[in-house]
Amino acid sequence: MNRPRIELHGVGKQFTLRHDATTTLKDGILRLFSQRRFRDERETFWALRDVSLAVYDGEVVGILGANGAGKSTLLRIVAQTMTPTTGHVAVRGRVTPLLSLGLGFHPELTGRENIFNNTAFYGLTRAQTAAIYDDVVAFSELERFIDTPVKGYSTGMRMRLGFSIAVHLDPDILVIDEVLSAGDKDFRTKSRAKMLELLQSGKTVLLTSHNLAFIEQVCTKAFLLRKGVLEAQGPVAEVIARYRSSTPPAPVHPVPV
Amino acid sequence: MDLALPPSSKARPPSTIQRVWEYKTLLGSLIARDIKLQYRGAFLGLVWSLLNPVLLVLVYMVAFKFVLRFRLEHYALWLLTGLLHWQFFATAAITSTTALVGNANLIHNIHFPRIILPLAVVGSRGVHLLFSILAYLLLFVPLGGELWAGMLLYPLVLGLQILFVTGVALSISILTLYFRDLRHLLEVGIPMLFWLTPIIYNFAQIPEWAHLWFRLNPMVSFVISYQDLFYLHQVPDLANWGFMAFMAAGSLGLGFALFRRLKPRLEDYL
Repeated sequence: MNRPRIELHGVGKQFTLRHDATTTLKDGILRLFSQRRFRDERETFWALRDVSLAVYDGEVVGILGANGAGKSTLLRIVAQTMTPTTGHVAVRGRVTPLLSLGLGFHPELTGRENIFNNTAFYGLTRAQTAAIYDDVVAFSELERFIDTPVKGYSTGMRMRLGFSIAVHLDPDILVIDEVLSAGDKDFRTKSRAKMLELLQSGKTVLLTSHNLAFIEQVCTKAFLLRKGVLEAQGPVAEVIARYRSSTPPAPVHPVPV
Repeated sequence: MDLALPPSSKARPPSTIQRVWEYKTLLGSLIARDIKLQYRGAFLGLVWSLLNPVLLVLVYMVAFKFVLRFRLEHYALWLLTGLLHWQFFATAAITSTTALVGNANLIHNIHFPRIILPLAVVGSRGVHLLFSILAYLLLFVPLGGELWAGMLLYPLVLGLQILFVTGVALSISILTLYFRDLRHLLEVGIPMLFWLTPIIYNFAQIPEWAHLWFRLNPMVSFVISYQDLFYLHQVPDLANWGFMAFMAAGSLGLGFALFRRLKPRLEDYL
């Protein structure tokens, strides 16, 4: 079957800039009486406009664009952690978003308990988690501490556990936002290698990175976003060339992978 | 209020029940986590969930039996019967204010059925209720209760209350996104509602003309049924069943409708 893994049709995302970020019941009641005035204070902007694209099985796609071009919004829409304002999204297969590491770890729970709890958010059953458990622990190098509460872990240890869980989830589609390695120097090398291995294992991948060299190395295809509009798509070398030529010189400083 | 709905983004998504079933491991894991956390490191552990109502009962006994001379027989049993089930409702309602708001980070970064979070609140409060019901049954005869066949109807009443509380948790969890002060309102409102529920007194003591007004409080019908079954040895009357079914269906319907309608913009409001 050659249907795309990910399909977006005319996807737009509008954000409302609320200067006062939260509403209270009081505001709500006031608004009932003077609907007009309150609504006029709101400002909106489109983070994505009319984006249509397709990603096929096994493609590794880099998303390029300046800060604020809509890269993260696009990733979140594909990861289904954000609902588009307009358009349609179809994602076929299990998506694992790696948007940030070590999410939802509870400090009072042990490493082991957190692994099982964390993978459940990604939809794994206990049996599925048990099957990857040893690998997760071994890769994180936390064997000695795995039955102690996570509150005693250093930030680096927490990142290692988070990264290790993330790379062992084995999804059909990976959505990665700049999360390409973690931890201290040694673990960084190891995690970078693991990430490369994952990117080259035939999964469908959508990723962003400020490191153009890295994108050029691992991606087969790229999308270029500018102010929420999909400006170019195609083979990675072409799109990068176009991005470079249209970007003022020297804004791209290398970020370690 | 601006709660407009953007057009649906998927042609035919799987039903909510299917999605919840798919993530049953997560639901179980969250419930287990909650219970583990509550009792880990607590010296008296589980005893707390039983000690709390017992202490309250003692205080009410002093105030109403000793000072105000209420003449309800086996007053401790009467109090416990209503109190345990009230606490299930009250704690679930308050806790569900943070079910979504307190997990913003997870919601922004992982795709899972959001409805699991309020359901887990009901689940963990439900497990607490089961623990205290076990203790209640142990105390039942010593406190002057008598077993009879009508008590077999208990699971039916409890089932209806669980449906009712589930609807409440769904509504509160999602409305808190839009109205952050809902929690403060509930922290004041729910203790007020307690005094308008016949837990300390008997519904029969309320002047007849006010009965219907009191019935507007959904918990009234549930508490009356528990007292019928465990204390008064009578089968709840038809009107009572009617009220309970109506409250359960209404609450669940409202909860699901609100959740479905507000869910598409949930992430934007977190």
